[in-house]
Amino acid sequence: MDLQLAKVKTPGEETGGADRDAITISGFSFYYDNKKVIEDVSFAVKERTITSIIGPSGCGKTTLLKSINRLHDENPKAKMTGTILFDGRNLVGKAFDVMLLRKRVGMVFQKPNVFPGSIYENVLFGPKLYGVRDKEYLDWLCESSLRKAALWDEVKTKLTAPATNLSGGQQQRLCIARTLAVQPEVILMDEPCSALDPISTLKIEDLIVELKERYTLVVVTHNMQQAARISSYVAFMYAGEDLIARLVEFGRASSIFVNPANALTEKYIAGTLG
Amino acid sequence: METKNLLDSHQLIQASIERRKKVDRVFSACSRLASVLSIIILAFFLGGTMSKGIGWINWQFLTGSPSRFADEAGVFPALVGSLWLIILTLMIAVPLGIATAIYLEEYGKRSRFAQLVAINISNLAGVPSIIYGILGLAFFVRILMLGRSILAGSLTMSLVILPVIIIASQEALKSVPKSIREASLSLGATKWQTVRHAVLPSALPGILTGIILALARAIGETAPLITIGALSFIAFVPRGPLDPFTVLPIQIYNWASRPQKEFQNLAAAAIIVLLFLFLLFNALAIILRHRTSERIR
Amino acid sequence: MKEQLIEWLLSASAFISILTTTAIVIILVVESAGFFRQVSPLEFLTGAQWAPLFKPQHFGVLPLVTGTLLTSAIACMVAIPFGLLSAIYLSQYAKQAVRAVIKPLLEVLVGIPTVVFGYFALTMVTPFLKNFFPQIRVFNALSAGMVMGIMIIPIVSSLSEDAMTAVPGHLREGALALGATRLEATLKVIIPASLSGIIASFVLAISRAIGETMIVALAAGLTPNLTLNPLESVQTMTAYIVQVSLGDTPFGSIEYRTVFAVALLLFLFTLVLNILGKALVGWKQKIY
Repeated sequence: MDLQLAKVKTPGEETGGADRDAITISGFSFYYDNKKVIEDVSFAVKERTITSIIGPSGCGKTTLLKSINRLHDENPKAKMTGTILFDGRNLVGKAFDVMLLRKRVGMVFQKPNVFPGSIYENVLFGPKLYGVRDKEYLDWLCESSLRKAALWDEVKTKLTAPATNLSGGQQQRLCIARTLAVQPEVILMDEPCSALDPISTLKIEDLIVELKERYTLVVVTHNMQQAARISSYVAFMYAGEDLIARLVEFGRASSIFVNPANALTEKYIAGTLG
Repeated sequence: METKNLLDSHQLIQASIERRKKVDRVFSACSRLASVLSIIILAFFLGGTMSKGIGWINWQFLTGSPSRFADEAGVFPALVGSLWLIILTLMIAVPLGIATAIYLEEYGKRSRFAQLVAINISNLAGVPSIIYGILGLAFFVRILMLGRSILAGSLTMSLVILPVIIIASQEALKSVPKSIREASLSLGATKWQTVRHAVLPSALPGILTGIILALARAIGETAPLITIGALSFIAFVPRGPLDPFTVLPIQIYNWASRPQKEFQNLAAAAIIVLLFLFLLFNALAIILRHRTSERIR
Repeated sequence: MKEQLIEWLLSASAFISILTTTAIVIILVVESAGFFRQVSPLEFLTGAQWAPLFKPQHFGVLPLVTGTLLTSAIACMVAIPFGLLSAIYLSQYAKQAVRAVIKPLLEVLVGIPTVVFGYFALTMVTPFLKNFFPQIRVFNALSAGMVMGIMIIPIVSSLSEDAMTAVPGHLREGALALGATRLEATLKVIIPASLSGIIASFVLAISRAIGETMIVALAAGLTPNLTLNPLESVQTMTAYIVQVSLGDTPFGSIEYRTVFAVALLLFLFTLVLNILGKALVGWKQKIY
């Protein structure tokens, strides 16, 4: 067998594309049960950066996030229009194979959702779906994913223990390791720290910042300080009295937090909004 | 560590995705078939039964009595017996069932007694119906000396459907929002007044649905009645609650157990009558359920 | 004062359930005690011949037990796969509209009078099976078992479906987000997470099959037969009770008492299974 030294390469690393768009959202609207819920959102997610989506709860952030990896496909009442461009194809509609999409775009959820089974089984859930059986490779992949998720040292001696034995913060890092194991290019995170204690939160924030070296991250958060700490870009979404969510402002984190262009943004950052 | 990164292979990923999507599609079709297979088979059975029995249903069949001669046999005594049974059973089981449910939901909630009752009901719901027949035989028929009468049968059948009514009524009472009780009590009403005038009317549709479903069950139950001695050959119509009797399902059993083809067809005819009643009750329950969920909306 | 009276009346009604259970237990135990004074429990439980109504009398209950277990096993071989597949389809694949139609239909299925199912087994399934197994008897365990299985499919599908739907949505989404198909998410995440509920449904289905009377009385036969051959006629515990009840057994005789001994055995079987089933449903797996 021909062994090559392999490091997980993500596209973009080779070309060093720091300013390219990974995902371009343009004119995206979302309808639920024929009622418009999100209207005309447009912004671009740059490769290997952290883009935060902030805004009060209920303003469509999670819905937008889940549209990117098409988790709404299951729901017949959900309808999407507009464009979400990824790798040259529109994710709205059936042009992109959804299973391939989900390999390349991973997701970490709000509440840690470890599966029944051991830590080892959890991490390798994705790769095993593709029929990978090589034990040496799997062991290596498990260790490498857990290392990248800053969890390896804590669990290396108990990989066969049930994943539910871990603490909340550890479980969330396990979920991140699990997502990393399929070697995605983009990682979507839906309020990854909101169910965790402050110490775990900081650990995961550090982790997220580390991850941006190799992955493109889109993080939904309602914690503004967090967004300010970690993001390169920020999208502020808000739903007005008509209950339709819109993109209010998008830009570099440095400018949005220091000098927002929109009065609404300013109010939200100052904490004087609902 | 030197390892070839298998997941880098676009071919591997693509091939895997194609294969697994196919498997998923096949499974989806198979499981859909499995879900409806029992319904389809049932439809076949019903169709077969209809064709065998429909020719035998006529006025004479419905008003005549069983006989050794298939052409003269009728189902009237069994029908009347079933009717008697249902009415008496309802009169006994409904008040008892609702009262128990009210006690469990409104009065006794946390007491040890209520918990014991709840455990008992839960167990009784799973006891095979023929055991109730044994109970009825020993207690109602012998000890209470009611003989093999409709009364003994109704008492026995009440015990069979009591858990059904209690559980359904409990669900109905649970679904009444707390605010209704609180509002009534804060206006000065007593507990009973609250239950009777505020909670019960709200829970009534759910309770009624449960009763109708229990009824549908009672009309088809055979084993407990055979055990208490309901006869399978009755040529007369019962006139009082202490008379011996038979019911439709027992008549069906009797005819079906006979080898002659005519009696098999008679059984089919009687089944049609029984199923008609059964479906009638179920339809009533479904309509009631729809009406109530419409109202809630 | 009136309130007190009403509360007392209501609790008296509730007490009836306790009375019922007590009465069942007392009657079964007392009458069986009478039986076991004349027939040793060992002979009863291990004897291979059951002929209490004939001379010479034999009181070995094993043929009735194997009759019950054989028909119930066949029923479960039908109900468990189909029930589980239905549950998976309804909870993971079906659209809301489809579910709304199929679910109530399945619920009606389980309520249809069992004597009707018995008729189906006797007059339609047995002749059909004769095409494949010419040596099949008019009364046989296979027809009765298969039809019983069809009848109890909704027990498995309904309870399993409830268990699977109770699995938190973000677990399922997590599996899908990693690229799993619906089947893979079901097999690898949802079923393991709802396993206790699913097994509970199997246990309760077995209990229901064991307690079933009319289907087996009509289609499986009324002669005790210690066999594992489903093509033969067998008698179950429940069918035996029916047989005696239809006859003219004198009250107080040992033949009369056999009914109670068999009923006690039946009651114990189903009691144990029901308790096991309830325990499984109550046992929630760690975090799910």
